[in-house]
Amino acid sequence: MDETKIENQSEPNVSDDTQTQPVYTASKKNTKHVRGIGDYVFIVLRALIILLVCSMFFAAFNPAYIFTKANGNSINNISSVFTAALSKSSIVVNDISNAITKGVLDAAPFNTLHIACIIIVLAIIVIAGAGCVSVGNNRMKHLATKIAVGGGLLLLIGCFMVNSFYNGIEGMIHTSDSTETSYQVEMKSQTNKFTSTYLWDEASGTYVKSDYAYNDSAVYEIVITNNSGIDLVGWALEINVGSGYDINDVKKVNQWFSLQQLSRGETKYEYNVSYNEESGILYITPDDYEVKDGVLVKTTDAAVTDASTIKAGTLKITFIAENIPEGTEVSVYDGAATSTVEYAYPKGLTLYFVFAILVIVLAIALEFLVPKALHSEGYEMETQYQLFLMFLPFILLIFAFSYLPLYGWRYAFYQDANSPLTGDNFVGFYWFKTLFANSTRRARFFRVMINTFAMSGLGLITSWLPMAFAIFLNEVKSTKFKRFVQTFSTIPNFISWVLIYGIAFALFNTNGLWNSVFGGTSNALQNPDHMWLKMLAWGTWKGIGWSAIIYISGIAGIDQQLYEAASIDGADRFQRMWNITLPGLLPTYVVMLVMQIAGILSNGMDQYLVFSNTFTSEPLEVLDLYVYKVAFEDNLVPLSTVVGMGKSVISIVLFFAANSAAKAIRGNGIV
Amino acid sequence: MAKTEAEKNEILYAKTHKRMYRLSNSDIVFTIINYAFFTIFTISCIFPFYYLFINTISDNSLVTKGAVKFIPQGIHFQNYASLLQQSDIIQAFGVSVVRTILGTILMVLASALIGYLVTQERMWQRKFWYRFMVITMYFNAGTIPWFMNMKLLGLEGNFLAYIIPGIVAPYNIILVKTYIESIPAELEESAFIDGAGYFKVFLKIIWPLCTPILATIAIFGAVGHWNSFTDSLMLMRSADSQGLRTLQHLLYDYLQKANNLAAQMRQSGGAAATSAATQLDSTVVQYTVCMASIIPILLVYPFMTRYFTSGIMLGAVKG
Repeated sequence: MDETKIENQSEPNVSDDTQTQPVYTASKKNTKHVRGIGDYVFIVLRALIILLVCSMFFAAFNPAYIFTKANGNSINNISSVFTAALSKSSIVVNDISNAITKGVLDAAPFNTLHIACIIIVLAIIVIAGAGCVSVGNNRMKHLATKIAVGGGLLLLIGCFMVNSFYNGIEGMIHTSDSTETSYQVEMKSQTNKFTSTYLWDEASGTYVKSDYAYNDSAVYEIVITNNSGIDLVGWALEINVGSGYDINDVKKVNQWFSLQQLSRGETKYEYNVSYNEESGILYITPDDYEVKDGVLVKTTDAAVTDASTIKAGTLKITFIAENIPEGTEVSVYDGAATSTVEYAYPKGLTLYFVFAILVIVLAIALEFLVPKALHSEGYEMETQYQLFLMFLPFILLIFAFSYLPLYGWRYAFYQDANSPLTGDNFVGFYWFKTLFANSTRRARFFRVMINTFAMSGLGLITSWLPMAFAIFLNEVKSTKFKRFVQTFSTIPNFISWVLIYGIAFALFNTNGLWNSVFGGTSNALQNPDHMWLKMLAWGTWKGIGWSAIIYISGIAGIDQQLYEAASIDGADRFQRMWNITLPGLLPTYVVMLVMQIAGILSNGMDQYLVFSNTFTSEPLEVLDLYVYKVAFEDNLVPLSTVVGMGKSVISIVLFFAANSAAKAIRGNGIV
Repeated sequence: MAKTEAEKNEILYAKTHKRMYRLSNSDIVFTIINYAFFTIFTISCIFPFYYLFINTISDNSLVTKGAVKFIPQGIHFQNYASLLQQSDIIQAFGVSVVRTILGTILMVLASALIGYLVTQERMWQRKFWYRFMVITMYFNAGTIPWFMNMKLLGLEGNFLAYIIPGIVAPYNIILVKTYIESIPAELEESAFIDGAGYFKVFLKIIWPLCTPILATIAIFGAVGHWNSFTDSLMLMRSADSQGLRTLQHLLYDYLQKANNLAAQMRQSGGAAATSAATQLDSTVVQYTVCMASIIPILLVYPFMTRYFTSGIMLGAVKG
């Protein structure tokens, strides 16, 4: 990103009208041949190969996506077969690995699945190679068909491996039998051990320390014995007090628990407590788990913590609650025991079976359709295809990193990017409306737009500064001094915004240079006043020397006779600057300005991110930063995609408008 | 090196100006103000770096009071020594260095080859593929789709995420292409006549002739890699990939929570760091890490200045 930032300043001439290269008949002239049936079959085969290569990157076609539910959670299909081949952890996702830890699933077969994915990806690469070879002469074509058959067989092997994994699934699932025998739970009340007492204070909404004893509350001790032999990962404690029991306010109950953290032995952990009023069941869960609609769910993507594990042996939990009636049942609620593993035949596997068979059939057919290569013929390929094949790997890179992300726009229409992108998750234009639906969000968005336009506007207003810099620097007679200025004024351009912030910090913090020279203890970095102007100043300081280079070069290109003629006519220095240098640079300036207008929505986020802190974040939140923050801080990926999408579309429209403007101004456009 | 057209013009301009001058009062005032302005501005560009540097080598107790303004006091290099004991800084430094070197080398190789290929009229569908590449400079899907795509490709928390996406750099390719077009076509022709293939022509003729422009894009690419920050910020978020943060990202984290680090360094610094003069303070830590990141850029800077004009002007508008 930074790289383009540096270079964006100059405007590239990307027109592709290469000077006509002499066409050289280095290779022997190929007689124009009429397409036979074999050629058409090859076209079909190549189209198939392109589809095959693309399918590798789409999660929907992942043959390794077999388990749809494990450990009580539905498993989202967000990784492609390519990812699956790269890392086993994208097959054995968190919930599956939890199920393995609990002994519900066997671990070993997943190795087979991973190897199968690697074989599938390798097979696709081999087939793609065959596709490349197939553009050569007949001898090459025959080689290609052989490679394709080999790749197709390899793909079949991979598919059969996945298939055998699928067939063996029943054998690798072990439903853990009964919770009762595995876990013994005992709850004891230890009344009167409670020394500090707390009373509910309506006014403040909290429990306040009180001198009066609160007789109804008691310390409870729960002893869980884990007899199952394996560690229990992810659990809930179910305290069934019956619906008759009146816990008048769930909030109060939660308050009690947070007053004294639940502890296991010496260590204290954070726990969640939830009370279901209808069933009268109180759940205690480690803070990364939650009981939702009677199912134990993991709430974070993070690895399982110590607190979420009940190791084999005995575990003691102490907590305080209001007087819980005699006969209350306490049991361990085990996600694995209650939720079964669900799986489905992967659609991707069917697809790859079909692909493999098609590739093999077509390749074998071609072996007969392609005319036999002449004995004298070597492995040769037309120059145009040779050159293309050299370019092909880069085309794939461009596709993967610049075009494939466009497919990510679909996130804008789904409820949640981490859930499967299927029908139930589809929300249409919900996020588009959400952007304006709620007044807080609307206000924030408008503030962001104002910030964006303010920063871009200030940039436009001061866009002539580099030109002025160049013109005035040109009036300096000493070449040495000129070079000195030019060299050192470009340094800040090569320092990243993080480092610029470091410098700003050094100069303007409470003990920084500013305060030690001028006295006082102000901290300009925490003062939100005039933040736009401060940002403009930093931006100008960083970029002016660099932006001036293009104008300095422009001045060097102005015809010197103009200056001589003007001087003879009696024009003084200012008149020459105004009437010769300035008009000479104007076309460049106008083009730069037009480009700047096209980039009005893109301020970049680095500068604003590094200068943001609790005090200054509001005036600094520009569109690019907003997109980042909504996704990574508020975790609203779809909303962020909506904003980014809008920005991209408007930017490209502005760009083409700017391009036509530039065309009108100087004859040729930018693209 | 032969003087370029621009340089010749510059000299001519200087000469004509000297000859034509008759100094008037307004000229003198203008000259004084002009020189003064540029002197002050240039100092403003250099001084912050100097200030940062003297603060990292001065007595730390004076630095935290803000007493070191223009001259270093109580010079010591303990801060840099303590920095070297921080394993995460060393690691981040390593990550940045490796990504800069690897990323730049691959980018330069790819740019040279692609730049050459797109000048070859005979390439199949050349115009289409060239546009396919160039259009990506002006259009992108947005930050989040990009991020989700990187995740999909298994590049989240993966060192390759720094290298692979940067291999094809359209802007640099255009620079190389423009440069290759300026090479006399006869050179290539004669090689073809002698029976060389396209790849051989590239290796033996184009590559050696392109060295100046390749050096230019290498320098700019390296600086871009060294300064790159957002990719690390977004892709190296998980606990497992903390070791893959770049130096810039680490620095950003430090600037956010420098206080913790000072405490940490005080502990690990041992006896040497305990005297008041070298006692670490969050401010000093920030200064030192900053300076450590700036120094590599200042070291390559003298080599860069040579390539400025060619870098910015090649393939750029002619006013």
